[in-house]
Amino acid sequence: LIVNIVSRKLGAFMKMRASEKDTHMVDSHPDPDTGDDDTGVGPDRESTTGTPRWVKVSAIVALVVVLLVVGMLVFGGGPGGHGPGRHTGGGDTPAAGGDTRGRL
Amino acid sequence: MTPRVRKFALTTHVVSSVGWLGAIVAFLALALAGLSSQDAQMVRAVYLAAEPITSFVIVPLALASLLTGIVQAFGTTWGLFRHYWVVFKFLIAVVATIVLLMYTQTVSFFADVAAEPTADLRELRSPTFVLHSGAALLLLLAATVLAVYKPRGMTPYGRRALRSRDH
Repeated sequence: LIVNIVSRKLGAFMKMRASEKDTHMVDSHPDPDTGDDDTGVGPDRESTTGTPRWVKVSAIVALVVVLLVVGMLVFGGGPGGHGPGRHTGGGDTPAAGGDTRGRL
Repeated sequence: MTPRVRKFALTTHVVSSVGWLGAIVAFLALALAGLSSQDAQMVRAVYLAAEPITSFVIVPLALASLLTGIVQAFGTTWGLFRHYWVVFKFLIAVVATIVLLMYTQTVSFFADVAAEPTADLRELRSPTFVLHSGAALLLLLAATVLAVYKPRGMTPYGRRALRSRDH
């Protein structure tokens, strides 16, 4: 019984692999990164209409992040820009007249 | 590109991109040490080390990653503007490289402060290194995920190019 079950499972698995291989063999474009067509992640059988959801979501997220960063730069509430003078003089500045040279 | 050249180009792109990611992780570890350590010598060392790491490791790797990525795009059928994942990855690399090049001034400034024996080290207590390297790490991780998964989706330009090729 066990041998029967195992052989049936193995047969189903082999069929599945064969159908996967067939799918890859009809890929219109091999994966240019590897030169192979066995990755299944190349530009094969790709929908040629519309913009995918992941692109729209990513674009919105990127836009929000850019607006946040620009807002922080403009209103000065964030980590500042990228010039040297923008990153110092924050909340940790020493009290006036206090000698803190060379120590933390 | 011939298969041999393509493999070489891909290897240089992967090495530079993963190297850039690894260098940013190391920089983030330094930044966290510099921000949290109570040892003045340690803090000085962190900000002094940050400059050569940025100039001689991170910037060259970033430029190499960007350049080899462009070579990969134009040297293969992926193209640079045909697939959304390639466009996103390219934009990530461009933005990260531009911010990095601008940020080298800040790194040099902090290194100068750390090198000054009489400097007030509290001036170095800024989360800027952690914030910037953390953001860079997220961007580079996103680029890596895009490169591995290559999510489907062709740009209008890519669709036009495909149609004209098929006809």
